[in-house]
Order: sequence, then structure tokens, then C-alpha cells
Amino acid sequence: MSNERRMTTVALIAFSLVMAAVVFVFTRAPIEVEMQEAQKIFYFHVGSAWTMFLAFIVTGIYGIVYLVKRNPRADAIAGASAEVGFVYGTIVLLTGMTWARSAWNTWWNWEPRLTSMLVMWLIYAGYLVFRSSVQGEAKRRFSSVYGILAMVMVPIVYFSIKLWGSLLHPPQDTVRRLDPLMYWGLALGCLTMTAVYLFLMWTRRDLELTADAVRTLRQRVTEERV
Amino acid sequence: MLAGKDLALQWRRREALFVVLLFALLVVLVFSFAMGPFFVAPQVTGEARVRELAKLASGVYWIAVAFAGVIAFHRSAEADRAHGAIKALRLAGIDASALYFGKVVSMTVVLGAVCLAMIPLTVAFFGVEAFEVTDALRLIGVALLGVVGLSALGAFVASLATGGGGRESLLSVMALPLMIPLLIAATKCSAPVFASEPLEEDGWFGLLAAFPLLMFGLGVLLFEAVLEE
Amino acid sequence: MRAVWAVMGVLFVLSAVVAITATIPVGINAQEVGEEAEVIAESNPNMPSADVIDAAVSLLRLEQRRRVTYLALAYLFVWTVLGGYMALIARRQGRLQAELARLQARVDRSPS
Repeated sequence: MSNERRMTTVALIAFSLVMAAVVFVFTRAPIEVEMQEAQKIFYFHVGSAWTMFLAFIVTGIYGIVYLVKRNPRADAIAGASAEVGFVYGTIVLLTGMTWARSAWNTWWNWEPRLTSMLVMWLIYAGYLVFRSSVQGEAKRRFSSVYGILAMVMVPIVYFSIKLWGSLLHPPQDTVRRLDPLMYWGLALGCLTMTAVYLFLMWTRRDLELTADAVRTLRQRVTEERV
Repeated sequence: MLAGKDLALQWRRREALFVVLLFALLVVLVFSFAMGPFFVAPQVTGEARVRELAKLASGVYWIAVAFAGVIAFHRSAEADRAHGAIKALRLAGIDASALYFGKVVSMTVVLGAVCLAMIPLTVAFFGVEAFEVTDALRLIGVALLGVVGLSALGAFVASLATGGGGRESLLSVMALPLMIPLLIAATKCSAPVFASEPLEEDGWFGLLAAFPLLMFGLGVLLFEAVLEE
Repeated sequence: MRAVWAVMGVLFVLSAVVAITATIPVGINAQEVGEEAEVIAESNPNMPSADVIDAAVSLLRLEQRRRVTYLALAYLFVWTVLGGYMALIARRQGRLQAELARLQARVDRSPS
């Protein structure tokens, strides 16, 4: 099937990028003055964060697409994207806490960006819990609505927590003077995480559609038995 | 549109109110035990003490309102479904956005009552002594703004949640994270009022005012899709 | 699809291995030792210089170990979370495909 061929290509690209990124980060990227080796965390941390935002925007947009076109594929993409985004969110939080521990000797210091990612993670946890509790057309419709609401709230959450934290954490606390090679590293990190996201999301989407097919077939079989 | 609002108001007011009020009271009480006036070190006195207590009071106040709100939203949405009220109203040809506004108004009334009742309680339990009638009026103003926003969000999410899973825990998981920016704004705006100080938090006040508008916009656009049957 | 997962799994794990081996040759340079030694010597004027250098080296080694540990921890998180999720999807996919095939055969067999 051409879908399989496409998935294989995406997978190969994604995981070659992972290899490339790892090689780059661990051999060519310069050592930063303050945090030295531990600073390398941030290539994948920022990459995951950016991808998480992307994933949630995709969820919202495909929510709109579903409401307009009522195509189950659109909802499958929305749900898959939210789930993968949630996984990436987990990565962002874990790496972020490790970063905080190595830089400031505390696992959590209410840094506004990380805190807002925590809230977003929780919002999408709600989305996923909700999705698993309903089935069928209602699930698709309600998830789309909730996904749109969540997407609209993301900037509000981000800016309100940033405002809230601005007194404790002057903006210079996080990333500062960046060596040009670091920018390349960041770009590579973001690209890599996005490629892996695409692979995971499309795979998850197919999974969702397969699950639907199984459900319909199962219904048919039980109906025929009667 | 008026008809829709009236019906919604009448129906819901009596059902949820008592339990919700009681719950809010309990929340304030429990928090007073855990984080009440004794939480602030005795060395801190005078204005600083009042400010610290006001911050605590403000936070607990809004937590109580938010949690009580979740209960109220859930009961209201659940009642809708159980009694088939929504279907009936829809068959009568009432617009989805009118229904939404009706819900928001009735929830605002319920939560508004909770807010009002919690003011003297919070002031008493947290010992913010300088609180006067003018402060109470200011707080009512702030609280109303916050409550409209909360209700707009809560009524919307509750319809989603009950349309789907149906349990209160699901609603809290879905609604509370979304409420966080609003709760931050509300607490920030209420704290100076509890301390009897002038309100300076322009940014937060703006958010508090803008939030319900945003929610209404979204609600009007999306509620139609929520109510489809 | 199996082949795809296998290839990716390998690449994924391989990149982890690369990361580890690339990090292992860590060392401290002479300049850092010199700087640290100066600091130590200042607060301990009576310490013999050999001891000062030893203290400097061990302090720097300790700090580096700490940093590298956190680096390793962070990357461990990334790899386990991603890897775990991939394993999860792969397993679900396998099960669903099997179920689908089974049901399809059922439907094909039935007369209607």
C-alpha cells in the first residue's frame, strides 16, 4: 500500500534525523559556559516544546475541519495529534525539571514557561480522558469542540502565567547568549522532534481509524448473529 | 431569546443552590484550618500582615467558588439531560446561543449567591479586619466579573462533559485547567480588595473582563455543535 | 509494517548508544584546574600545592559527574517516553490488525 510506503519513508527520515541530531548535539555543539554539558538538554527540550504547541494547534484546526466536513479522518488526526502532543508534553516537563535541577538545584521553581506547559498538559489530559469515555459520532463532535476551546485557551494560559510569573522570574533567567552553532542545534532539534511527531501522529491516526473499523465490524458480526 | 433565559433561570435556581453553598462553606473552612490566619507568622504585623492574610483569603475564596461552581455546572447540565429539557426547548425552536446564554445567566446567579455568602465567611475566618462595606461592594464587582467568566466556561464544558461521560470527576478534569488563567486573574484582583487597598492590577482586571467576552464568542459559535442530536 | 517498526526501533536505540559513547570521553582541562586551584589556595594558604591541585581536580570531577548525570537523566526521559509510546502503539496496532483480520474473515464467511 502506498500508505505503508509513505509511513516507511517518514519513519526513515524521522529516525535518521534523530541520529543526526544526537551526533550533532554530542559531538559538534559547543559547551555552554554556565551549565556546560547539562545545557545540551535544551536542544530536545525546546524541540519537544515547539512540537507540543504544533500538535495542539493541529488538534484545534482539525477539530474545526471535522465540524465543517464531518469526515472521521479529520477527527482521527485531531485525537492522534492530541495524544502525541501529550506525550511530548510529558517529555518537556520531565526534561524541563531536570534542567531546573541541574541549573538551579530545584526540581520545580515555577518558571512561567514550564508552568504554562504544565497547565496545557493538564488541559490535554482532560481532552484525552474525555475522548476515551465516549464513542462514536458524539465523541468526534464533542472532542472537536473541546479541542477548539483548548486551542483558543492555549495562548491565554501561556500569557497569563507569563504575566503571573514575571515578577519572580525576570526573562533573562532562561536562554541567553547563543552561539550560532547552538541555533543550528536548536533548529535541528525542532526539525527532528517534528518529524518524529508526524510519524507518530500518522501512525496513531491509522490506529484510530483501524479501531473504528474493528468496532463497526464487530457490530456487524453481533447483528448477524441475531 | 428571553423565553429561553427565563426558563433556564427558573428551573435551575432551587436545585443546586443549597448543596453548592454548603460545599463552598466547607471548602473555606477546611482551608482555614490548613492555611488560615495562623499560617502567617506572628512576627509579620500591621499592613504586611493584612496583605498576607488578604492573599490567602483571596485564593481560598476563589478555590471555594471554583469547586462549588464545578458541582453547580455538573448538576445543571445533568438535570438538562435527565429531564430532556434541552430537546424540548430545541423542538420549540429556540436558538442554541439563546440556550447557552440562559445557562450562563442561571449559573452566574447561583455562583453569584455563593460569592456573596462567602464574603463575610472568608473575612471572618481569615481575620482581615479592615474590611468594610465599600470593600465588600468592590469585591462583589470583581467577583461578578469572575463568576460570569467561570459560568461561561463552566456551562459550556459541562454540556460537553455530560453529553459524553457524565461524571463530576470528568468535568473537574476538563474544566479546572481551563479555568486557571481566570482564577489567577480573579485572585490577583481580589487580594487588594480583601486588604482594603486600591486595585492596581490593570492587566489582570483586563483579563477578567475580557474572558467572558471571549467565552461568549466561542460559545455562540460552538454551542450549536454541542447540542446536535 | 513490522519491518518499519524494527528498523526504527534499531535506529532509535542506536542513536541512544551513539549518544552515550560520545559523552563518555569527558575530561577536565588544565585551565579549569588552574582556576579552581587558585580559589582553593586563596582560602587555604597553608595547603601544599600538590594537595591544592588534587582538591581542585576532584572538585571539578565531582561537579562534572553531577552535570553529566543530569544530562543522562534528561536524555533517558526522552528516550524512554518516546520509546515507550512507540512500543505501545506498535503493540496496539498489531492487536487491532489481528482483530480486524479475524472479523473480516468472519464476515466473509457468513452467507449474507
